[in-house]
Amino acid sequence: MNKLHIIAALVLITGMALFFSLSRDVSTYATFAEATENQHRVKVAGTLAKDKEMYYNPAENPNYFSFYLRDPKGAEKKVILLQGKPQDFDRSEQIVVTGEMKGDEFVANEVLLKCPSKYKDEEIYMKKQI
Amino acid sequence: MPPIEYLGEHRWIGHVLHASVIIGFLASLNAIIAYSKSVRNPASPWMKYGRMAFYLQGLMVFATIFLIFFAMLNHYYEYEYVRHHISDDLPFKYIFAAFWEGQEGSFLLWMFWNVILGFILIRKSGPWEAPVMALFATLQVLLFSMLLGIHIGWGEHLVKLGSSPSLLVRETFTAPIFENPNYVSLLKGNGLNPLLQNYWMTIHPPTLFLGFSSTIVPFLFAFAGWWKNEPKAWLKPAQEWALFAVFILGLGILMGGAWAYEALSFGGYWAWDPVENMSLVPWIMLLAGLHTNMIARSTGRAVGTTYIYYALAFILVLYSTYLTRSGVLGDTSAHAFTDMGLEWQLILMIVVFTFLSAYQYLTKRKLVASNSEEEKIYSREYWMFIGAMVLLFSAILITGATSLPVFNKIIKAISPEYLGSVIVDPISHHNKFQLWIGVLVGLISGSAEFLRFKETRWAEYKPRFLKLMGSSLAITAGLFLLTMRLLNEPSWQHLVLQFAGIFALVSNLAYLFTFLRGKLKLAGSALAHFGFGMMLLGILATGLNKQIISSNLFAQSDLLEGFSTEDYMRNLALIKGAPMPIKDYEVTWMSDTLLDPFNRQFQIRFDHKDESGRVIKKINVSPTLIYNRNEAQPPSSNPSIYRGLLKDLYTFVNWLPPAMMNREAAAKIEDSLRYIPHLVAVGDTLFFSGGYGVLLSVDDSARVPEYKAEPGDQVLRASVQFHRLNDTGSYLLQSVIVSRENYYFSLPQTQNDLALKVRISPLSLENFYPSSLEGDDLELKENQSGKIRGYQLRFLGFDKDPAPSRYASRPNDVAVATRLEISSPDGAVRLAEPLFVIRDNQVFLVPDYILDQALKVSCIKIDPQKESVLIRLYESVENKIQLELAENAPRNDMIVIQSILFPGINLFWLGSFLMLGGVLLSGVRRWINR
Repeated sequence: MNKLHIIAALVLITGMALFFSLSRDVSTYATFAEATENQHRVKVAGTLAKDKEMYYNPAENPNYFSFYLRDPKGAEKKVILLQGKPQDFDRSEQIVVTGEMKGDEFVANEVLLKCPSKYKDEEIYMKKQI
Repeated sequence: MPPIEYLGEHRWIGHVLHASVIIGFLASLNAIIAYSKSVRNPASPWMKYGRMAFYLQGLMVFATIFLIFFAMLNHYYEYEYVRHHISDDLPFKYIFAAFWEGQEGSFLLWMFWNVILGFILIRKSGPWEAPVMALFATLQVLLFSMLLGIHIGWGEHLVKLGSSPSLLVRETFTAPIFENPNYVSLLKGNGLNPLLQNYWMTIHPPTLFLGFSSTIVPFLFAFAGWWKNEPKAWLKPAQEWALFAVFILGLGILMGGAWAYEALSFGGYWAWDPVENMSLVPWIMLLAGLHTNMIARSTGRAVGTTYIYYALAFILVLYSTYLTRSGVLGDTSAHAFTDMGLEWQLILMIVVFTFLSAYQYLTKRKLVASNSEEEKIYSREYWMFIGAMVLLFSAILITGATSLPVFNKIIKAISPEYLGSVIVDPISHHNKFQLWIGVLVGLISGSAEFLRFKETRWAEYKPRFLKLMGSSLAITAGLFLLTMRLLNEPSWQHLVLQFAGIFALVSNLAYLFTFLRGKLKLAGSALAHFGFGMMLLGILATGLNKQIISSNLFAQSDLLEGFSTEDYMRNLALIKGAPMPIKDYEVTWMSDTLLDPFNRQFQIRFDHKDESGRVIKKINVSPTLIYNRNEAQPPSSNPSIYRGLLKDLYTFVNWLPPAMMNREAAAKIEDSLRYIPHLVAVGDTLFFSGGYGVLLSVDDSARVPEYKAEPGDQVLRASVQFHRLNDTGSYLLQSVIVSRENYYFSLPQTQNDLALKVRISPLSLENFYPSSLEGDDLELKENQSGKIRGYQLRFLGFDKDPAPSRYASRPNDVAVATRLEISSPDGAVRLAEPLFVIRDNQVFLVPDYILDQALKVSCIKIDPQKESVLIRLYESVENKIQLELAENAPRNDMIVIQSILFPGINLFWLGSFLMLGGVLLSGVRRWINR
């Protein structure tokens, strides 16, 4: 067997693997409408509907946190996050949830918050007010 | 408007700093030219000039670093870099961490190691010095350019070349404060992010950057070799440096994993975060290059491949720099730097080195004559080559998936309405593919050890090989069957990986004892591959058998399709002091303490129980909470790990009541409560919807943890005994208000079982600590009695040495307490000790208060001649207290924790250390035998 043949074969296999893996594991950020339509596990990015109720009562169930998310198309859905309420949730600018639609609610078990970063503060602290 | 003359700025530092960077930049440029000119003629004076130029730029790197440290140590907050990373209260031990927290500092750290390695190479690389250093200086030029901070007008555009650490705060921000010439004295440091105030932040970055610095060196030799038209002579030094780089970079990555496991709360040592991935990928390529390098030195084949792999390893370091520092990862990574506007410069760096390495390869590849002879499938080099290729594919897969944000950015540039694609579950995506890399590496490394380089007598050797392979496979199969049931719900792919891991262990051990007869000096590769096998088993054990134990055994939830039970049982709510049974354990939140203003430590105890419910072991863990200096930011949670031999118990606080979170959250909760006022006297009853309470007493003791007494404080405490209508229990609740100088603060308490919160209205302070100077006077001699408004007063005598804590005393005060016994009409007898104080020839009075009678007693005059005192008594019009009662107050004694058992994690750590130990052993052997 020639080295070149092996290289060619491996490149082909990897190329195919890459292609399939990307097409299966990758998705675009979905809207609620798309999530309702395809009923698959997707990521939805949106902003917190601050005027709607956020519910977390650890005494009752520490793994249940619900809030309303507004997707880029303006659709608002109730999201049930199977986790505790993240510490910096109230301040988040953008929220990405991973999960799927169940009825009229989006059930998620993963959340990524984009907050005014911990790594940059644009404030200048002053010793006293002038 | 004339320019403002600012006071207190230390401009010289900035000027010298900026000059050092420019001189360093120019010196490295000179080093490139001079060294390039002496590649063909090492005896030329250019060589010496190049060396001087490189030394000079090295000196400039040191000077820049020194100056930044100087400014940091002296807290020169007018410099943005100092202000951003340092604060007055930052402990000295974190000064290094603060230095390389920012982009500029971490570039300098990288450059520092380049200088050190460069100095070593000047002395040790002999004939390779000129071309090696010419290329090394090219890297330094590009890195210096990141710090130049020069803005060039280009037509309408302003091109920014680098970001200088010498920038002043007022050059970075516009704010009204900068109209004040004395603004410097008003600045306060921002300080180091509390999450990074950790010893790992001191040791991990230097190790990782030394790894990055040393990753270029094998490529420098490859490039230098072909530049000098020497096809293979560079392979020896390249291999020695590659071993060093594999060791150091590997150590750096491992430290990152240990840090993530120990201090961050994402529950593990590896999360396939883009920043992690992009430090791993150069290491994988380096490893691939190291293997083909060995083939090349033993057989003369794969020289070109080695060149490519080393080039890729280095270019991937640059690519990783681009990804983590350009802001392109923004959405997908938790710990990339924020954008500094250097994107095009970072891309330029990649382009320069890609072009140089590709050009060199394409023009010089004919140096290595192609070998038409076919490689034999039963030779070691054949399988090593395949193994290296497996590593290449691993790197391609990881890099490809991690680069998704880059592809998104490119597509978005073409069609702006593109939403961007993303990997839904990155961890399972990477695991799925890298599992097979693990399998292949395990199997190939295990078998290839038994084969020989340039096999010419295969027929003779074949039986021995088959015997070794056969017995290794048999032992592996035996061990596999024995341990097969240890893994929790493995898929067949996991079982294959387990087999491959055991095979790597067994065959490398067999190799160690049959071929090397236990000679450890030569055992580098066998040890490394043995460690790799152990690491695979560790990954399997922790990955599959990891068990989240923080779940309430009694909680019931309807399971939804597509979600695992784990999703419903991750978090556990704990009430302070109340034991909670979980699987095999009983967990209790014992207490929590504020170690300093920024650290709260929780004491949580796990009682390990056997089947009969007997406690067999008590485990104490203490996760901490780190508060941010900026109060608007939420605190971050640090896990606590109990390390056992077979498994670790890992715990962190996942949620805490708003009252513990920060002032903002606490205030928000307070605002949401509806307080209803009740004006009551001692003995009166107040009602709430679930029952009633009785005011037991009003006094001035305040033993609440949040309260630190100060002299002169006026404290009012109300104790209320509450009763619920539907049970017989009684619940004591005490609320406190304190008046200090010209302000007051309330310390309301919550009765968590009743969800009641009681605070005292500040209006009540006037009733019990009346400010009125009026009253009825009475003159008394010692042991004499008299009566005012039905109160019987008796003067017991003076106390010449009253407690200084009674008021805000000063050293030269003369204070006398008048001791009085006061009997009220209802028969109660109280003591009062009003003070008479002389300070600087002036008299002032410190009255005493009898709270339950609402009396104020002052001694307004002392007559030494008559040996008498003049007492003034004031009775408050109102002796009632205004209590404010809120129902449905949220609990402030409940936290939510997550606890995970990591079995076999020590296999992972031990395996990785053996792997790196093997690399180190090979390296040391080669360095010694030079």
